[in-house]
Amino acid sequence: MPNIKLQSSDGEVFDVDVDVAKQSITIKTMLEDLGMDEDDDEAIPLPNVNSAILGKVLEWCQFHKDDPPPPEDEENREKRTDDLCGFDIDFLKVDQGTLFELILAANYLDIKGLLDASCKTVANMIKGKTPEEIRKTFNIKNDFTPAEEEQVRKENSWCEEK
Amino acid sequence: MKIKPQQVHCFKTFLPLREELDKQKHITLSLPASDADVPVTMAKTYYIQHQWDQLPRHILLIIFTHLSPNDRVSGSLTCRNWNACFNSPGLWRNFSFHFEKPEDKPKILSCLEKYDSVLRVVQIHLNPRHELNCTNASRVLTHLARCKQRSLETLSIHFTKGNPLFFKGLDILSSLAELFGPPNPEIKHHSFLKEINLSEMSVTFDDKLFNLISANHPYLEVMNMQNNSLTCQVTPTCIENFIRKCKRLRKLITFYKCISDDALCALLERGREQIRYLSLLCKMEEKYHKLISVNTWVNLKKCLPDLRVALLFDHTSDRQQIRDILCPKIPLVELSMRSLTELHEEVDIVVNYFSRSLEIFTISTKRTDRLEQALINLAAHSMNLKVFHCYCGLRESTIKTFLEFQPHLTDYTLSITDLEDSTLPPLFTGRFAHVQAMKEMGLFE
Repeated sequence: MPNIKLQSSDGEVFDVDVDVAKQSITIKTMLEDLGMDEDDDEAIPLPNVNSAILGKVLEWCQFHKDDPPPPEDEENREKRTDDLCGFDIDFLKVDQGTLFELILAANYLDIKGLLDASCKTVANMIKGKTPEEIRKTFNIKNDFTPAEEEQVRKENSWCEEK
Repeated sequence: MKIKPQQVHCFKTFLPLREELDKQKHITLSLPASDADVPVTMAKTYYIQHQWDQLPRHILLIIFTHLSPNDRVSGSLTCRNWNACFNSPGLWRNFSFHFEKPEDKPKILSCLEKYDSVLRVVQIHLNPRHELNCTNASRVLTHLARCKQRSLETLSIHFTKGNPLFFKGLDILSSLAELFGPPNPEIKHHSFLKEINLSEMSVTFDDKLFNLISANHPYLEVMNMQNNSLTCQVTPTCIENFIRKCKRLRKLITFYKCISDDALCALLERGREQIRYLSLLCKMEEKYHKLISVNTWVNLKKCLPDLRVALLFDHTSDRQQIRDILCPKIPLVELSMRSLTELHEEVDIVVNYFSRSLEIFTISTKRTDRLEQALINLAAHSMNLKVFHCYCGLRESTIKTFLEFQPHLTDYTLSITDLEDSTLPPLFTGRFAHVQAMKEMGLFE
């Protein structure tokens, strides 16, 4: 398999199998549409991803390179978070800072599988927590006034199940 | 995982770089002018600081779609941005209504008031033993039938506690008929259903409902009507007409008695989407039904090379019937046989006919030495078996040999003791369960 070079925001160059890198739709489109040649020696710059995160992302892509394409009618499927594979569960056992950067990288590089898996991991971190515990976990500043918060609680209670 | 040697050195450099980056939080990266040929979208500024409350809305939406309603409420209470996500209509395209306890009040019905026009995938779970639950479920269906703008594409109804013997579900059936029926002239935007799952709705179906669906929802792709009601009164003529009208049908999950040679031939008509999956449940009543001819199966196999067929025999079907229905020309991928008597000869037939195609096999029967031999023979000859469930206890040596022949099963049930077959509706697990079910309904002291 031919390789391509990817350059992270901090200048590190990664030599990657084309099929691994093409799981990123962003990279795939660049290669196809912008006529970047596979045996071009120039590295593709990825100014939104640092080397630490790019390394992780490529590790994920390497593991998932032979995955079958997702089912076509996926949007109408029931959303589950308990279906992450063992590799993804271990892979995403990272501090929430890394998780945050992985989400942004997966979004920017347009890697649906990684974006879904990392969002599911975040969802699993939210499950069963109180609002205060969620704020603590993700370091979110409460920007409601107490009155607003009460109002939101009332308005949103329609979907609560006992 | 496999990492190529040239990648390993990259991974080694992780730690020092991470530390360095952590020191320089808040930095903004922008493109140097020399990279002018890089697409504009890449030139966004990028904050290394982790502001979870500032996540782009579409990402936050993905996270929220994976949360239960209760967790969505908790999330909405953390900050304004997350609350805005809670209130975006896009979050509520899929919704499950639960009416399981009588106190599950229709507070949840206000979802309908707010989001009826965006609801695309609706599941209704209800315990039909309480009338109020049925009334609420009917209200949801009627509301969806009458709302001015409708996006509904997928509907499934699940009875959480069935009463397959006596429950008629008339109010739900009539609401369904309204929903499946011709659009109300007042409706501005009428959606066509793509997927209907009534398999967990234990009522007796008849032609009326399915004629309505095929007349008004020509873009239907998936129909599952294989429920655990004692009988099904849908006729093969109705299903033939259904198949002719729903030209995009990809999956049809029904009963053997509801199809006919003509119905299956309709699947071969020109200008229609190729059907991929056909599942047929066979019951005792099929004994009096005409068998699908070998010719029809040959034609289907020839013209629809991607078709995967599933056959299910429940406890009411007898051995002769199983033998009659199994035909070597069926492109059989999935088979499930349940019987209170022996089935080893039938397993031998299966090996003979389907060892190349069979991927999923479930068997629930009486253990005998001959059965164990037959199963080992199955393991030795099945080339594509992926899933195997056997609910009767087998000798340890048999299990060992089976797994030696089939080391790559993705899922299997093999045990030395008899197992309860939880996939069966209570009515079919034998007389004891039957009596139990009647006791629960208070009909039997």
